[in-house]
Amino acid sequence: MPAAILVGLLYLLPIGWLGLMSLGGPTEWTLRWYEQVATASGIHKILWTTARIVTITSLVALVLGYLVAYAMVHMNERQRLLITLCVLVPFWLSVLVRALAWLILLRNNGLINEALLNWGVIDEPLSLVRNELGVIIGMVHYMIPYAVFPLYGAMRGMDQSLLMAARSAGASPLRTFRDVFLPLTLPAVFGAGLLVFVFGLGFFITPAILGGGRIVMLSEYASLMVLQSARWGLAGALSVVLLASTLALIWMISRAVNLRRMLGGA
Amino acid sequence: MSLGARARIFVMAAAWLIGLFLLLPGLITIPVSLNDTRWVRMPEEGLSLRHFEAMLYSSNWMTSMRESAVIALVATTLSVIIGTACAIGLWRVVGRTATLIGALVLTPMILPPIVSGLALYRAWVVLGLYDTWFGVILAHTILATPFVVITITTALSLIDPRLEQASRSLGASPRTTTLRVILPNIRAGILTSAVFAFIVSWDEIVVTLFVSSRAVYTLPRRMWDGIRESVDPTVAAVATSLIAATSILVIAVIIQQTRRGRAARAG
Amino acid sequence: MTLQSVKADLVDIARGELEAGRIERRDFLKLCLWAGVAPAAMGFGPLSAREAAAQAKEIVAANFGGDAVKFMGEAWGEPYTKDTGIKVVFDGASPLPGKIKAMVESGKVTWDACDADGFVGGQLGNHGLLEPIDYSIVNKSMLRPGWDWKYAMGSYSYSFVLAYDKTKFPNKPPTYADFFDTKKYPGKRSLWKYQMGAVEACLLADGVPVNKLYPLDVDRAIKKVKTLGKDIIYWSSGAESQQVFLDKEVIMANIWNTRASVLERDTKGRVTWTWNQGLFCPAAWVVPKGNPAGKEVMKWLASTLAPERQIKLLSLLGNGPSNPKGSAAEPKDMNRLDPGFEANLKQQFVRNEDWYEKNYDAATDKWIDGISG
Repeated sequence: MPAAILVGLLYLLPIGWLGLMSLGGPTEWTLRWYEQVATASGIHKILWTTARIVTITSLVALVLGYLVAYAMVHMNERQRLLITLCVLVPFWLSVLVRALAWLILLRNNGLINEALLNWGVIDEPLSLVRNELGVIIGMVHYMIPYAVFPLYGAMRGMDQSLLMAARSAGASPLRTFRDVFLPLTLPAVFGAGLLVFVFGLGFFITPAILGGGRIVMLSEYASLMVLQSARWGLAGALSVVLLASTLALIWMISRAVNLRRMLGGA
Repeated sequence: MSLGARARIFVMAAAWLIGLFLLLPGLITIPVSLNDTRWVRMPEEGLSLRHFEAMLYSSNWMTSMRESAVIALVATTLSVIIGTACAIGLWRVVGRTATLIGALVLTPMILPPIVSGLALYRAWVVLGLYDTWFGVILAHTILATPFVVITITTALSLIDPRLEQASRSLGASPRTTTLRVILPNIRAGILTSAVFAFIVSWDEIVVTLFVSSRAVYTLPRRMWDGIRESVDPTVAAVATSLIAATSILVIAVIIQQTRRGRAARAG
Repeated sequence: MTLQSVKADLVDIARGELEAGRIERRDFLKLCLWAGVAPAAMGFGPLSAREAAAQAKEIVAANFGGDAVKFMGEAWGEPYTKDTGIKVVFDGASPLPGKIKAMVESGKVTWDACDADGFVGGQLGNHGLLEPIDYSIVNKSMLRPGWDWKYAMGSYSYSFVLAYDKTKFPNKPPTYADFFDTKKYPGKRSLWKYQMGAVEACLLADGVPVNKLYPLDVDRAIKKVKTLGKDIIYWSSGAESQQVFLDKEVIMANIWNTRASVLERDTKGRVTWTWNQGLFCPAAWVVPKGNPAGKEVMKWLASTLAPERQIKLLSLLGNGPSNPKGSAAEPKDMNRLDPGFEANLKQQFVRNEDWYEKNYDAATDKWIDGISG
């Protein structure tokens, strides 16, 4: 069966991967690193910060992405192309350019604050960056395109007849949306959410620059452990913990959403 | 699909606002790339093309862009093929093994890039792939494949499974079914995953720093070179050029579409 | 000559022809196949033919990239090549301790010398990751006292200084006590994220006398820095430390003197710095264990201590000479830029390498934990 072959092919990469991990992973066969992860409050703070910020940004990005995708389905071709351009442009900005651009915009003496002050809308500059808000703005901006595409694909591929049936049965537009459209797009929402969440876990350049140095996320901490303090065991233990908890989370949610129904298949 | 009038206005307005939000940093980058200083900031006294000159006339930047483009294209192709195959395979073979493999495939995406970088570095040295084109391409492929798998899986979730059943019951082999029935239906998903994979490779810095040294010098490496000292505003020029190229492309398509529409209506 | 070496020579000649454009790539590859020499594992990377032997004729020094690559090349690379014919290449790959460790443990060392802090010699050397400096080749007397560590050789000096916006302090330069006085001097400040320099600044401001600074009380520093609330931005790269001044985001900051002098130039004097309360630090070259060029690197290290070459680096990059004779002999107009110059040095205090060697990692951990969130 080709499927089995295809799948078997894939075995190689990830297995090789785990092999690599054990090379750099917790050495010395000690649980010391895991102990540290379990007890060090500093690490807990970083884990909590990461979890909180990534979850918030993922949700916001999902909602906004859903809005955009939904609008795209209802637009004419020309408008759709324009919006697609808007969604594509950020891709060409490397993470560094993006972060610096946001600084230019959001600083206390940045473009946005200057405009608002000039127009008399505010008296004091808003603190939009060098804090958690700035990090969230930057990360959401990064994530929205990754949410829009899968969601749009889902919505476009939807079977129109179902919706028309609902309307002809007398349902209001709101009801049609809530009871027919939304549930049908739920698998795609899950997929997009997963993509965006896991993607967000790896962020550290954006939070480091936009957080004023005070928002330390897991990836940055791991980076410090690997590059500066050469505490590879700790970095390895952290990674394993991250891996295990993320996979556990995915598994739990997939059970709730009924994975089999989502994946369809034979 | 029908939408209440009020809802329509709300949704459209929201979408365009979000679109503007997405464009904002890109719009900022344009004047920055035209600035007259050595820094990444808005122009101070006037506009200058020096950064574009620096980009075009220095072999360094052009070489790096070319290297990044080549690597990204190859890595994208590989990861899309592998990722699609994997996603389809997982879609068919539901069960414990599939779940396990799914988890393994996602791993490179979940791990902090620095850890992946270190692991790949150790392995690549052993395999003799350190600082080689193939080594970098392979590393990027490994990093991009999870994106492809998730995207394609999402796309597959929307296909009516009965399509496959129908195809098989009509006597088509699994391979034919895949090629002739499944793939065309997820064409959009494949395209999207290709875009994601390309960007993953194009932007990749952390792992690349580990697996390449002097022989392969991608664009992100050039951007990060000397970041301890300064950020070269040429990066803004690069970004602006790419944005301009994409915009021109899209606008050309729009014009063509409009013309075609007009011709159709007239004809 | 064995058949193998003949083949290797032929491949080398052919490579020259290829680079000169006189033969086609595919012909070259055919030759490689015949010679049994494979271009490294399907890559287009360096050939294996004579490359290994050739590399002994080359010294690779790793530093943190950017201008340092060009300028160290001018000051320390070219003169050596002129003297000995050996090529000196600067690789801007940022040789952080973790990277050095990864390289040595992987068995494939590509760097001969790495730009690091003095205490890194002890940190890595005591774990068997570095070659000891050969002081029979390197002349100890050309180094500042104490800069001849077992596993590290003093390369240049740099300082953490208090840089400030002159328009906010027109009469006299501020001190670290002023740094924390946000009422009298409203505005943001900046410190280094990775503990060094920042902790000392906080402690000094809190009233700790200079001679009682070490061992550093990181907790006390964290408490002090939290009093700044939102008015503190942490910089993590030199570029950032300059950008915050250029964008007028901060009115004072604790930054490297090299960045401060560049800032002074770029802001036409609006931003300047004071040597008072500066933290004087030694930078050093360390040699990873199993470095490709072997003993040759020691000769190169010795050559970098020549006063005129050190002065050249000062003029190009702003790094102070590690050779006291260099500081003494430099042109008068460079005195104010050199952290090691007598008059400047007097106002500063010196970083305690011993303490850093033993405590840097743990302290940084604590510091980052304390300042985040």
